[in-house]
Amino acid sequence: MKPILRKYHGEDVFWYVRRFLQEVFLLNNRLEHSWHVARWEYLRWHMIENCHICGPLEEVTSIWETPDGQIAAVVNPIEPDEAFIHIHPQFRTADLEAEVITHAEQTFHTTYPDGHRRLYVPVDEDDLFRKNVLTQLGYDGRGHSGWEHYHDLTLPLPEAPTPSGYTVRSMGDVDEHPTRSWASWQAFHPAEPVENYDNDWSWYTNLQRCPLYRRDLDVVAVTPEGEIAAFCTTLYDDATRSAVTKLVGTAAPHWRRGLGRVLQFECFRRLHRLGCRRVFAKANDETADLFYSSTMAQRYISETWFKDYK
Amino acid sequence: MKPSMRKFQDENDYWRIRQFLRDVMIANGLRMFSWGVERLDYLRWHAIENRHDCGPLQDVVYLWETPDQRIAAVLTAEDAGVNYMNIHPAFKTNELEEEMIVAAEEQLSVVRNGKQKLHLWSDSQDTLRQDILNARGYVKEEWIDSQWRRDLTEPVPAVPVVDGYTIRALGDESELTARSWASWRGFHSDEPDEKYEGWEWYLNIQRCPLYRRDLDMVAVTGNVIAAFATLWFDDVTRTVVVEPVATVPEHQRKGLARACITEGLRRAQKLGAVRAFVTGSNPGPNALYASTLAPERDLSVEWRKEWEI
Repeated sequence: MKPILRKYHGEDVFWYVRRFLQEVFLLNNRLEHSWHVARWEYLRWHMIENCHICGPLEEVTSIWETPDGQIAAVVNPIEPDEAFIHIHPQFRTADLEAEVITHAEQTFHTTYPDGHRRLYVPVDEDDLFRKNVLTQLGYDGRGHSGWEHYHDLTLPLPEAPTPSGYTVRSMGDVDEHPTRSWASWQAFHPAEPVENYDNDWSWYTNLQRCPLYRRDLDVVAVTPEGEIAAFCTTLYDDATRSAVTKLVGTAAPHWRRGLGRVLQFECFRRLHRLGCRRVFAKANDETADLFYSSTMAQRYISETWFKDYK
Repeated sequence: MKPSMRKFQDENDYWRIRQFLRDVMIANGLRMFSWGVERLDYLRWHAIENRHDCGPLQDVVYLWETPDQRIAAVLTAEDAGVNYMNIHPAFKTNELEEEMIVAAEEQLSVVRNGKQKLHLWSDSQDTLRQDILNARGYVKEEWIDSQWRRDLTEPVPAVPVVDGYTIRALGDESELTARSWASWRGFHSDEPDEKYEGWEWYLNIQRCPLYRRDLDMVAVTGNVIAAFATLWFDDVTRTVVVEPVATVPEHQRKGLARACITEGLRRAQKLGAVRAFVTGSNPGPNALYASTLAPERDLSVEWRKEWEI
């Protein structure tokens, strides 16, 4: 039963892919060889709706299905020129991987002034199967690597006392979105002039539209004045008993007090009480990698291979 | 592959049954012929942990598994002597139904007034189960649950709120005392306040894996919670269940419960819910639910058997 390419069409497909990712994740023993469902939601509600990294899912997602309607593979962008491939382990063949990647070359790409194009494809450091496929397709470039961290919530968590002057609690109601948004800006844009901040916190409402979002797993450290100094937003999937820490940040004036660590452990404790068994986080820079290495036990490298073509 | 019975064993069973209930809900075309997953959560965290209605899951839950360890059916208590049969439609046979009923009689019946007693629920259209219950000497009780449902395919219009009240999500822990008091006043208005036992039980409600505060709707006036409707969205089946709903007596007849439910439905729809359910058994709530959700409903009927010890 050779899977057939079909276009993403309609709201139901979003949910159909969600279910597929949950099944694949469990079949892969709770490892992210394909995406955790939280990342799929984050792509839609944050990366597309807020950051506009690409067009809507209908335009940028492709699905391979068996004749009886079972999803075998999905490809979607992470960046305009970077494709993430999700493949059901029962259907994983070199032919299907090559077909999906070749399709991505035609649909996601950056065209440079001289007319050549480039596509990036992530591949786990020990995924020799995909590396062979990529090699045969001519992927000889190496891009920036990321670090995938995960932690099993079976062991007791270390104590991480809250620094004096801060309160750790769940995110409040919509009236707290402005301070939450400002904290995010200060955490992730410390070198930019304040004037660049657009004072628009509506993006946070979109983030909260992720079906997995719950405020009690959106933990913040607050100053006595009510200012959010740090945050840790985690999305928990009770169907797979796993979670992803999507955003951890500390506003620059509150750095070096261990707030991020305090918040992440508080999220871990809350996750554990909800039945979560494993939590993931991805680091795209060395600072984040160091941070997650200090809070999570397991780590592997996600390489990014690329190919230039006409 | 005949399924065989075993007792609930451990935490892993809890999570496997949750997945089973989701599979069954989808296999039944999003009808409540078996429990939604929120009801198992509620049994564990509220009926058992808070109210001590029955023993721990190890004592009141039985599974039927195929040799390849696929769950075919789950028998659960929801109160002492009151039991619910959850069966995957692919395994629903006369033989399995009868086996589960016999198991319920042997394992989960209670002694009341010198007699052995057992209650079981059956959908009103489930003639297979009803024939067995009849043959085994069960009689229908008057208690009937109406399972109202509404497909969330069209926008849910907002309901106007009377002046002086705000509809919003429940606040943080500091508001649990008010929420708990509203629950007491809403459900126990004829009891003396001395019987009120505090608010800490609500922390257990919030431990349910499906709980989310943004779907725990309250109608507030000043610092008082006047009404509430808690919604449970299951993102796997894309269904949402409304339970519980109540209004404090002195704030009734202002449309507050309707406003809470409607705002919850609007939020659940934004999260991707395609069908909503609410269960009512009394005329007042049923009238509210019929008008707030839809006239579509299934009826779940309680059956009782008593026999000499």
